[in-house]
Amino acid sequence: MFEKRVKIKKNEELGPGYFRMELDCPEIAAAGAPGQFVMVRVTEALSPLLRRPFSISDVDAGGSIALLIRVVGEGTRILSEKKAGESVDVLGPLGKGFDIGGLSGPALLVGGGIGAAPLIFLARRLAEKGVPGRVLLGGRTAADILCAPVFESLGMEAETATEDGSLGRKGLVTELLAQALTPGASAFTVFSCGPEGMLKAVAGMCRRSGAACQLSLEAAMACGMGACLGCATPRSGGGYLHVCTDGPVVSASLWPAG
Amino acid sequence: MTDPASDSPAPDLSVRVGGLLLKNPVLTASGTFGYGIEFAPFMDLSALGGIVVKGLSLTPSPGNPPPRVVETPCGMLNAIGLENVGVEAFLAEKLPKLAGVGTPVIANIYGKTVEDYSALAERLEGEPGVAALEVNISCPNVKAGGVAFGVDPSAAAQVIAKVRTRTKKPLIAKLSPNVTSIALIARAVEGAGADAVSLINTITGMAVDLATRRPVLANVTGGLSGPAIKPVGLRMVWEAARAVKIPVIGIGGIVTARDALEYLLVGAAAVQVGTANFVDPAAAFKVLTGIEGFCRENNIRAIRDFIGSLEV
Repeated sequence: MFEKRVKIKKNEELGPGYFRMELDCPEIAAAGAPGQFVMVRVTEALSPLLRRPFSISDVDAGGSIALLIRVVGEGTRILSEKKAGESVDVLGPLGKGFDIGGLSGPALLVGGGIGAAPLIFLARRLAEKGVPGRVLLGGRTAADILCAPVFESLGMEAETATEDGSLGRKGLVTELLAQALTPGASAFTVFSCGPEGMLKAVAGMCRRSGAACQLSLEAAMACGMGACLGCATPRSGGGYLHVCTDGPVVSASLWPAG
Repeated sequence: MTDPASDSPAPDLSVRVGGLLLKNPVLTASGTFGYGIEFAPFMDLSALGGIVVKGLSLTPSPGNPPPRVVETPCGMLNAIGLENVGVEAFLAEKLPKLAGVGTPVIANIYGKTVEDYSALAERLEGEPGVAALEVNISCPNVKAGGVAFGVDPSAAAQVIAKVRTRTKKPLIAKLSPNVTSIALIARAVEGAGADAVSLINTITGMAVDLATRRPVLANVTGGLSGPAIKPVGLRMVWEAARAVKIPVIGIGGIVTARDALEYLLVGAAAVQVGTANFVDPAAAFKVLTGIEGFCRENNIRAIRDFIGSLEV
């Protein structure tokens, strides 16, 4: 784990309310794994006080890490307005990432909106390992479908679904998943990140079809390193998981699906 | 190029807190530093005056349902609900990893009944790795016990008196700010045998969501912490320090060395850094460095000479 003030190399708007920030952070770029996250301080001032968690969305050989930012409140608005050359304080890499060590068979990546973020880094590592895969991306509108060409550049076929039909299939990304899971589905390992309702649906579909499934969860958290215990989420069979240290990536079997 | 300050001898930062000799007055607050072992790989814990571990109950506690935390202006609300591994798992799995940590480990204990507190104190009494007990009679986020003891002077005294009969270790009573008179509670626990008091725990608060018309926290209410509460903490530490002869440990919104020094100025014998640990894992260490620098700059040879030097 590193805590460091790092320079912003780029901060580009991907579309309304979505930004991609590149940070010069060789330590985290070298140590980070897909699914892990960083905690970013958005200001030196006392408010907003807490760091904000972001998945490591990508790394490059030049020592950069990329974050995808959706503007949802004051903290993310402040971050979105930062310019290349400014710096931010970053803590990471944190948490447990995707388990791709013993992966057999193809990967099926399922992202909802900003949930595409950790899947990009995952797609890069899978491509390096020679693991074939496809990605299914969903969102409310075309503007919520992020970085589909990046997945394609990493050798993954990308299929999209939007609720308003402005891009790809009209409907939910889980409808694409239902098609993909039909015959011989157990050969797939599903990796998913997105809104809670979508993750519950994905987990339930995988359980019924017998496909292995790993989910990247999200929760409000103060510290990101197991001290505050704020990021509890129910665990299958009772008790709680802590998203920061038990996750953010957990096996779907540990998380009660809807 | 010489820095005149660096020629002066290192200031003596040691303080005595109810039988504990601390190398410096900077501790970490319970519930904000895990069991210490979460931070040990990255920080040299031996630099600190002490660490106070997450509140322990007799049996493991899963804590409250989520959402448990929400940010507020210059602070945060939490309703963790004292999630902890329980005293037995603490002793078996956590405490051994703190052996040789080089700083006193203070166990924070929490019960639903006087008997719970008593049993916890008894269980920890033979543990040489536990330097002192901090008795939490001030958690606002659990249904029974906790703050129910901390807002009534006679109930507070009853818990402390009972724990006193079960431990020879330094006994610190952690007090709630959710009271009309902190002096009254502080005097009550002093009379019951506490060696020190620590304050403030969080201030009861609430956040609501206009869009959903629901409370943000599943527990509905929570405890407010962070820089927002520092003025309240300062006032209460000042009042408590004037009300009792035992040492007062100042807690509440300490982020920088200046914050800590303000607490020492109004009479705190030591301080605990809390919420700031979440924002910066090195916060307590930076506070310590800043206190040392302040002493050098102001020719304070011993921090003891500065403590309580407020002129009103």
